[in-house]
Amino acid sequence: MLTISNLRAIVAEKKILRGVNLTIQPGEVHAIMGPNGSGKSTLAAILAGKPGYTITQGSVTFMNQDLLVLAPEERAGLGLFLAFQYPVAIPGVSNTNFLKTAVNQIRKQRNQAPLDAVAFLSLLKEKAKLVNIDRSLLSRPLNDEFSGGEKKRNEILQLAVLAPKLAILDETDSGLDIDALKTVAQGVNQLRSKDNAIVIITHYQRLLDHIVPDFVHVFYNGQIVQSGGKELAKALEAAGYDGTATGTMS
Amino acid sequence: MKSKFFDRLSLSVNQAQEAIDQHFRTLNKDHPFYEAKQRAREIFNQRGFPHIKDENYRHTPITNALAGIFDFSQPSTPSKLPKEAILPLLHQEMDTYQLVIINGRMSREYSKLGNAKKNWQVLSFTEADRQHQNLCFQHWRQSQFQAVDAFTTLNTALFEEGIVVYIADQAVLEKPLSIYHITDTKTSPSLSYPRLLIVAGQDSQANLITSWHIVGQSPGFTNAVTEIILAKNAQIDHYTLQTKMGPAYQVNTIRCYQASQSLLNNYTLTWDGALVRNNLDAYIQGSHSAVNMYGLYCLNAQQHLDNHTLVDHRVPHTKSNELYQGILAGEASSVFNGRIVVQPEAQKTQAFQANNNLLLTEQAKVHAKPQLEIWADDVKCSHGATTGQLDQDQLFYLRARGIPADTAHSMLLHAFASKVLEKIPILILKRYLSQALEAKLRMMDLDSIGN
Repeated sequence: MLTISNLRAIVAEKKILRGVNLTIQPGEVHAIMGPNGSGKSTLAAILAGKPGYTITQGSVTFMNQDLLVLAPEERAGLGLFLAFQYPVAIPGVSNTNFLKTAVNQIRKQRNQAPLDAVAFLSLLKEKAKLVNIDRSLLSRPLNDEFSGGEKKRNEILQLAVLAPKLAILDETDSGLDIDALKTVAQGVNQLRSKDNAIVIITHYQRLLDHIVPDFVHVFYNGQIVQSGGKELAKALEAAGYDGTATGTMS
Repeated sequence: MKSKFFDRLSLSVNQAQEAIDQHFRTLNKDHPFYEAKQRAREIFNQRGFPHIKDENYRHTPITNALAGIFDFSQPSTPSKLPKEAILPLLHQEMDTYQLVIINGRMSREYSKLGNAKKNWQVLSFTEADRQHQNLCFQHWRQSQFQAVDAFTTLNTALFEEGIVVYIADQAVLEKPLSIYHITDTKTSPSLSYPRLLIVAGQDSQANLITSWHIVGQSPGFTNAVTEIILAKNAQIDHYTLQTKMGPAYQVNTIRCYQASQSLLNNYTLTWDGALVRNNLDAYIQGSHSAVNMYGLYCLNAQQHLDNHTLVDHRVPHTKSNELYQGILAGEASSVFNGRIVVQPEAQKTQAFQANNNLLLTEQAKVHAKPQLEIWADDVKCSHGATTGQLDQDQLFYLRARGIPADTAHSMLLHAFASKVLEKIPILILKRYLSQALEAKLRMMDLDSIGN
């Protein structure tokens, strides 16, 4: 589904990805863990197509297409979804209208007929229930004056409504209390299937208690320095990232 | 270069003086504004048009722009326009009363004011003075504290009939009154000097929708003055629609005088016209009154708009709130000058002002100048001005959800505009304006693709 080969990138002449290799198959859940500034959020941003980065080497193939030449909206159309670490507020755009536009623009890219208002609203209602989101958030302007937890929950709602092939959750757990964390995890778990894949980018192990990954990768200094099963997360929690990087963990 | 400007300036002043002389030869001494006109003539003779260095017109070199196009010695003449010319301008989507004014003169043929026996009327200045205790004359006598603007002065000197909308005490207009100002430029560039006085009686309430139009291929210069008097506990919602103007040059002066407990909501929407200067003044003379001034503009090509606002808090316990949002593309330019005066006796004043601009091209220009003069100490006042581009993070967020760049662009512009549009309580008017704005935005898009 996704193959990243020797991906190198710079921003403002600073090397920020230094040869990333990663392969993801349908049905898998991958966790990418690493300290602040290691480049893991940059990897997520580059995959989603955020402007401002220069790719110096390497390739990314997603659904058998060269991902890096596509516009952000085309990547979303192919089934890539990034849950933002810091979702922006857009006052003046209602959450519901935004989601309807997104759904129908993606359907358009796939040559599907747009959903009418009734069909869309019933989809939205169903998914809102699934991720246990307060209905009042739907009619409010997008992320405007949402609490930290509401913003993250709203990201998961978008994930549920857009039903992507590959979802990248960028530090979705940051700023969440334990109850919100559980709700978010529950929502994500219900969306797991054999056809889609999930990448969880996180600093801490605690989200992985609720969304159990198949693979854990340690990201350090712009690279994946170690990969393993879910038990690696526990080991990391005990030894810290410095231990990993200096190779004392094994 | 400089001498050329002075040549033009003095030529225009001479032409205007010629028009004033001509006007006075036929002016009836019984005109309610005879004294006012004489005074205006003297002031204009002394001061003429705004000088290139006039602080008030600093970023709007209006005299120069007008002098190349218009001959000020031309009198504003009556005009008869065929129905086909008028109909497309009228608001078909709304049920409103309509007052049609062509070249500053009321058209009885096209106006629809409903039942004649009602608690509001449309009159000439002369009729109003006869029926309502020298209303116009008294108003002029009482309003002389206000600052003098060259174009207001010229309008006072030159206007012919003058139209009064008289709303009696306790009257509530059940439909909005649409006021259509049309300048006919079918045969040549022409000038008009509309003059309106709107009198809202005690406890009265009305929605007024004023639209400005040029009919004809030649440019038109409309130098208009509208004065709105709000008696105790009156509410006026006034809309200025400069959205379908044609090749228009305009100085549009609105002066409002508010008695206690009155409320004025003013909306200024501008996306058409070549050069527009809006002077919007509110003199708050009675306690527990409030004024809201909302402005939305969207300009491209070489359009130029200058919004000058003044709120003069003259008594304690009054509120004002201003929000102007602007979108500029092409080589368009805009000026926002928001002056707030809080007089020494105006304690407990609350005054807020914000002007936000989005510049979509590198050539577009904005001059924003808040001007707060606060002489009282127990007040809450704030102002803010922002100028920037579309937020790249917002744009990326929308695109990351599958929304193409151009749609995302348009969603963000609408969101920006909606901060003003959402204040409009008449839903049908809000929808009409929102669609009209969308058409303008689409046209601007074509422009940028063309470049």
